[in-house]
Amino acid sequence: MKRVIHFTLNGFEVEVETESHKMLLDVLRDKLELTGTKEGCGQGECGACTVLVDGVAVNACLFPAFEAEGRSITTVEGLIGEGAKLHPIQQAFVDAGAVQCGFCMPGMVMSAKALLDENPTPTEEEIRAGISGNLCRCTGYVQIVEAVKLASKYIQEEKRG
Amino acid sequence: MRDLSFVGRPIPRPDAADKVAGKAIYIHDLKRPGMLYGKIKYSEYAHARILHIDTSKAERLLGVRAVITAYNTPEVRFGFIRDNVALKKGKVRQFRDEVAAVAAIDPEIAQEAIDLIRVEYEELPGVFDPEEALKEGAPIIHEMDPRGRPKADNIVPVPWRFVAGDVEEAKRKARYIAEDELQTPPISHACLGTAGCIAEFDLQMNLIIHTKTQIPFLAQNDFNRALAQMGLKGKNTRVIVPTLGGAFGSGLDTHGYEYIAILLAYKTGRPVKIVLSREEEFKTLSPRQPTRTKITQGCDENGRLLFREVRMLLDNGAYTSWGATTPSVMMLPISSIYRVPNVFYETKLVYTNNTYCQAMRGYGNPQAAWAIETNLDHLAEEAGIDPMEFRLINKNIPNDISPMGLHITTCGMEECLKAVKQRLNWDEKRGKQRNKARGVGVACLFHVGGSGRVYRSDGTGVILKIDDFGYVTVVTGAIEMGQGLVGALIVATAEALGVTPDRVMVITGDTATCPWDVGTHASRGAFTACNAAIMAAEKARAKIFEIASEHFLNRVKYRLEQQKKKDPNFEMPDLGIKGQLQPEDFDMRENVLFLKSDPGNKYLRVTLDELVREAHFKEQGTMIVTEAFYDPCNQMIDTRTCRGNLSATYIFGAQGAEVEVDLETGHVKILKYVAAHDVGRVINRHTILGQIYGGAVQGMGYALCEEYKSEKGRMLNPNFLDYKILSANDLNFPMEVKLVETIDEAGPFGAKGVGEPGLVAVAPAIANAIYDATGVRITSLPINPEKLALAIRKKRNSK
Amino acid sequence: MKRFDYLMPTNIKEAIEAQLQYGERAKFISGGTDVLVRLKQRALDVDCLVSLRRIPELKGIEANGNTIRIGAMSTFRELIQSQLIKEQLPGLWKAARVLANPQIRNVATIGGNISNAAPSADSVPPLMVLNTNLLIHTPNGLREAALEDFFLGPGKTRLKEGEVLKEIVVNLPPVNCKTFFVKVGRVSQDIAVVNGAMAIELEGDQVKTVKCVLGAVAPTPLRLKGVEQRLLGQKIDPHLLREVQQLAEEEVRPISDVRASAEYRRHLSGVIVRRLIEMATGI
Repeated sequence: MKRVIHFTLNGFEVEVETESHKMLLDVLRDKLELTGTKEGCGQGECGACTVLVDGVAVNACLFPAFEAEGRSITTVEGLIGEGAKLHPIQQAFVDAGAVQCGFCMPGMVMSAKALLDENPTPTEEEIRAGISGNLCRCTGYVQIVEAVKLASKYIQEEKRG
Repeated sequence: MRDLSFVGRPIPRPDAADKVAGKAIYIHDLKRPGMLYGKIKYSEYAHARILHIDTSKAERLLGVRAVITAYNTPEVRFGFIRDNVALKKGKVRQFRDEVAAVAAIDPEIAQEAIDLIRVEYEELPGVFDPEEALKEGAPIIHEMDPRGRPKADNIVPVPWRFVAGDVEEAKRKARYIAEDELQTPPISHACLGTAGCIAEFDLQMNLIIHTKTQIPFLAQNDFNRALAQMGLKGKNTRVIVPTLGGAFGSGLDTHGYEYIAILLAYKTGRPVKIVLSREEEFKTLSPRQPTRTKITQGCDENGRLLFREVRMLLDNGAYTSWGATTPSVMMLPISSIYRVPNVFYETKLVYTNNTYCQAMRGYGNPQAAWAIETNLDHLAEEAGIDPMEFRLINKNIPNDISPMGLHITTCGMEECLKAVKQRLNWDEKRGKQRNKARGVGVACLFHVGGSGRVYRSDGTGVILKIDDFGYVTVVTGAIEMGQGLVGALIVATAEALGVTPDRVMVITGDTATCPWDVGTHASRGAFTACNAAIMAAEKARAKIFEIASEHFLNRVKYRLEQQKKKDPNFEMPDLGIKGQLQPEDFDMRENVLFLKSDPGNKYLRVTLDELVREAHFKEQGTMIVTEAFYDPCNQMIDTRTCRGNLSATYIFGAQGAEVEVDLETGHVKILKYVAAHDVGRVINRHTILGQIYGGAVQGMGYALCEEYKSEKGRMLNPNFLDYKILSANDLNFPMEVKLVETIDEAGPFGAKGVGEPGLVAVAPAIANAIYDATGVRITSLPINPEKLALAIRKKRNSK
Repeated sequence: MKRFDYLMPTNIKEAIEAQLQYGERAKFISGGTDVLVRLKQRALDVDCLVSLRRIPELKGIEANGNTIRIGAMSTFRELIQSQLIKEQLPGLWKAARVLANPQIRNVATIGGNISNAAPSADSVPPLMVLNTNLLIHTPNGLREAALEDFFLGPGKTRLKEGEVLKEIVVNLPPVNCKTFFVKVGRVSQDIAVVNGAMAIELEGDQVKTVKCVLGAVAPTPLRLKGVEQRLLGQKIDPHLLREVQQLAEEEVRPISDVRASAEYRRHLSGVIVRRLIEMATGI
């Protein structure tokens, strides 16, 4: 069955026609051509498709498209500021050398955002638990954990300054 | 050497921002106008005759544009010994064999069409164990060899045999001997970004293919051969490589799905995209070569190694890829790690109905290191010598030639071992914590560090061009697959040329515009591409300084005159220049040219972009474009003697672990990990650390939990739920990296390759630590909790 | 994925009617992290999914005297964030924290975990060792069922067509009864190779009451009655612990699968049971 769904995406109201068997990931990538969110496994194991739904990290590959109705969704594209300025979390990943092939990065950054929104100064253990649903094959996670620590610092500085 | 401005520092890589912003375009994100989607139908049996393929229902499905099989397309033969074909005819030899394919207007319709294709098979008995496949009466996988000659056995004609000295004699002389049988399973690359391609023809019937590959030029060659088989001989292929979501060796072959996309594009006249799902990625891409190894090593009463004897049985699977050449790399550590005068190495490669295997990071070295380093600890125990001490006694040394003919130049093995020893508190801990089920272990590695000549050319080309704004483009055929090639290149180029890294842009991944490169493998990317970039930069500097000798002073005077016009009180300085300036009078650093004789003079400075414009915007102007092709001083291995200096330089490393074992559940907790690597020189600190951490963690997965499981040829765990790779939560322990800089003269600024070594020694280091903690030696990977717990229990019960 | 309809009723009546209309060809979906994966793997085939996400009466976690009521659509995230669960049902709280990964926990529900009836379900052992009942909506009103008898086999429960879980009702045990939970996987984040829970009341070092349930060692979560009987009224000492460990190994009926062998599961069962007791006695 087809339906038009209405939701908030990265701060803007959107209207999309989609089908009942589609997942949010399909809507984002195919309908809206927001290819930042990636499909890594399609089964909720790798986190490459992580987006925020009402501020909470979910795997878009297992989120039925119809359920987006009335929700507020944030994807990696929504973190970019005016003039294509990277979000502090994204900047921290660049500065900490945490990026290699980059495929896991959008999902990783979104999980980091969910984590830091809820817990602005996490311990290393909390960081590792917070990104435990995001697999990375390249980095070994060491510089990613450093990046999240740095991101926490950047965000605190931004709040103060 | 003068002070380095950028080499060794942590410089952000230029592609990082796009990747974290979600803007980088991977094959999954790429669309071409009019594009169709392809899907593949795979075999339902491990070994069977194809009796009949009925595609009629699929063809009639709305939205389907082509359905192909081996019976309505020209035969396209490919593979390292060309024993594979794109679409299978006559019989299938493994579950992942491609039997048919569909192109449709959307992927769902394509999948529906695949489900509508009916194939009738006559099942044949299969063979899934290489030992079984060698026996008489075993089912024959290939009844004919690629040349059409009949074949009566399952042996793959790619044998490896290496002999140095006299092992039998050495066995008689040895005071201590240790013998072991060890196994490794197939391992999936498990790249986060799966494989895929988009194939299309232009109106002259030349092929353009966007694809995930590490060998764009060898792929171009492969695809041109395919075109010839399709009746398009003389046509050319352009291979374009999008951003890669990892590769780790999976891009070192061309694959069936690529040829199928080409055939579908040819048939439909439209671009056809095939992207593998995660399940397909696990099931239909080739994993790391599994091994069964028998190893014996012996030493004298002082612990000096006398011989090493290694026999390997390799399950080749149903077809032969470049992975069949892993023994050539395994020969390196087998013949040359530590100083061993007498070596024997022989492998047998056997066809079975299992999946065929290909290259994966380390290219056989992890499998060889597993055997050598586990057995070495065993031998050290026999000899009553501490394993760290044993390795120091036998360590490789600089300026040595190994039995295989490898010219070892720089060698940091001693420093690496000592770093591990010190950082793990080895002497306080080894052999002293068994009551706490804790232990420490070490293992070393030996790998190519200056490329590895496995192909007729081992070169990498670079074009360097400077624009009117002082921005530099480096164009190279080497590939960025996440490892940080671009991060190293901007540093090396900036340093060699005299600009800042932010002015350097790297273009890669297009065979039509980028200079030739054999492929990004053997940890060679930064080594060869940076060497070529340095050569091109030096040529550019020569040209710049020649232009400067003509234009520098004019520009300086012009600026001074402008300043005088603006400010009449300005006093014209005495520049102190007598006569004509020569090219050798100049230097350039951080985008600015100056005189060597007066570097601090604030007037005698011209920026690069000013100079370029001076030379460009005039009659008979000129621009600065230079090129270089770097082909290292290494040799191909002589296939008869298996000798040759395969690489321009070699890398060494030692890794160590402290572990704590839960003796009941078998879980291994790493308490501390140390990776010490002789890297020659650090070019970009961010990317080199990333490679070592990343490689080490892949190695930990290899050691503790990763395993491609199959039963009678069928893969049992084609998903992340059951093919476990480590998550951040598994790695909550300190990982220390020690970078030993031996400054090798063959390398760019002294650097050696670093892509693979992080992974090579991890499994034996951890296994050796587990032995220290428990007294149990596990000889097959992975050392998962089940295996360890049951082995410990068995040991307890036998007491 | 193959096509299916997706309905989003806002009350129970609508939901049940929808499911009855499609019969076997419809399934309820809560978080979707089991159902959708099975659909993608082609282990399941439906014409319609009936979402329970927008039915408010299926949510809520509250205490009611000596009972705790957990709405079936409570996500594991909500369970983890609930002070009530953390304090009153620590076994369940611990299980919620180690189930799958954060993204899954944010949408997966306890009702879904129970209805999916995997022998390895993490939320079941800590609930089954307590006096737990399920409140079920049927086409003809509500009915109650004991959690202990709810499972019939892997993926099979006593839920009939047109029935949907409303609430999990836990009757809190006496204050001295402590609940413990252990999960063993292959790596830190995994489906349980074996998991287990124990609710135990000690008087000094003597066992007053005890219930023990292990998961992933039988077609359904298994109550180890033999182990319980051996422990009842006994003083805990090393000899008893060894005996009970042995008993547990004999009582379970595990299979070998791609995750683990029966032999290892059997071995782990003994270890887990012994460790649960040790946790209770503070060893």
